[in-house]
Amino acid sequence: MAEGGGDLAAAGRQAELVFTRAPGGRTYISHQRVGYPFHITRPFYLDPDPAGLLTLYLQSVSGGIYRGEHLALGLEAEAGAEAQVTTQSATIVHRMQGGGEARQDMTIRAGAGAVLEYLPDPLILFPGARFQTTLRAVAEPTATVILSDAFTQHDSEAAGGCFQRLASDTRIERPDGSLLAFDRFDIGGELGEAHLDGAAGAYPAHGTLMTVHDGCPAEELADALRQALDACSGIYAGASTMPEGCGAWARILAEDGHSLRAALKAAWAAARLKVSGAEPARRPK
Amino acid sequence: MLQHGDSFFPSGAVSFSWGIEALGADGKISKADDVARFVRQQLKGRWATSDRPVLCAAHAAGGDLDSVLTADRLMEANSLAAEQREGSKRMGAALLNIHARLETRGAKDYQARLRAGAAPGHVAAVQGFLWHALGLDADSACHVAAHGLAVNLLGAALRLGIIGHVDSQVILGNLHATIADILSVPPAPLHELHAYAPAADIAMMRHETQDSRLFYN
Repeated sequence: MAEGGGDLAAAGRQAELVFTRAPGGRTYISHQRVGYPFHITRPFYLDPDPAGLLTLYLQSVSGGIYRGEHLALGLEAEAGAEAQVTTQSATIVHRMQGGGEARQDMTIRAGAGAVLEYLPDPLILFPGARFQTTLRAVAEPTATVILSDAFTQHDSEAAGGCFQRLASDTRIERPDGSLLAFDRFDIGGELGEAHLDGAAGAYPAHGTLMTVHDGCPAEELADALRQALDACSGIYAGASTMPEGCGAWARILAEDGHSLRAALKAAWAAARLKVSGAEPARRPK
Repeated sequence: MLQHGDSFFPSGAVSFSWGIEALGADGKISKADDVARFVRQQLKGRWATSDRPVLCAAHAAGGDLDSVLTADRLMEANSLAAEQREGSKRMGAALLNIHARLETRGAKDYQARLRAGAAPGHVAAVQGFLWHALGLDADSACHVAAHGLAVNLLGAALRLGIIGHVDSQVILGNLHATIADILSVPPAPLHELHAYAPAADIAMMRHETQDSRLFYN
């Protein structure tokens, strides 16, 4: 959980980006401070519609997340800005030997009418990994925020090991501080691995996609997610509205990382179609 | 305590399967072992870390309904799957309705908040403050709630024909150790409330569009 919900001092953040809508409609980066281990690509404009939507790849040059790291990031889309931040590949969370954890805290802000998507590739949790991650999204009532949060696991030593801890806290707030929804879990690899809450089936890859959007009834958004997921294979998934009717979300259990990524992509594309009325372009990875 | 934990008490629980119906229809749960694991995981992965802290906070509120509301609202924000959210509120409202008629202290006041749309009325919050009003201590209240959920889930599996009467008693007997284990440590504080029951979430979401439905969720 973010400490007291307060922002970390700007100086403590490795990455800070602000997206602003230019008078012509194109979104640009009006403020950036990106330090080790992060690196950003140049902005891309990939979608025919909305043509001004900026896509940015946030990369880590360090090869993953290591014990003792504390990463902090801030993303902001000012009123009317449209941006997607994604990654080029999955992030590996390495084995943490001798105790200790790694941690990442992220704050996302979306102003009135803004569209901000944060769609990182899934985490890959190695045996012995311990990771705490928080994502606090503060959205104006007319903003659209699409978030994905996903993990899979890789037994790098093929010795039947599993990650030790994944504590994840994703919360959706309004600027007045009211909490709309949160998804918070604290699990060990034994639970994340295979047990389908104790039922049959092995699903080592888990994902969640949340869409906060007020431009259409939440039920329509949930239907769009549901239909997109129904067409995917290798998954057990569902979608519904979120509390306060603030949007819709999907939970996905997948047989492998490939099926998980395909399902998240399908769900995101369906959400985007609902939000902007146009199919998004494929993101090269 | 026996009166409120017994399935004879009209708590409304019989209308809810909390995902078992859809998991059965989807072929994910088909035998007694599956049901046992599922129920154990619902107790450990959701009830212990989410419902229990809310119940305990509402119990500790000592009749202060504003404090009950804080816990209740947190439960609302953490109830992401629509049928989970609505099911929990329906069950809370049903329990409140009975206690309003039994004139349990605070029941009518909180029911008025629900009717005015000023409180969600999740079952864990309602159980916490009502059972406090009835003089149950927090530990007993937790036992009643956990046992009640286990019976509710097993009853659903039984009615769906996934398990038989003997199975359900064997599983329930074994679950007592799980419940005792959960209650052997203090409840998490409200700000640490968390849950992870992805298959149940998914099942309840899929249940919304399932063709024939015996249960509300």
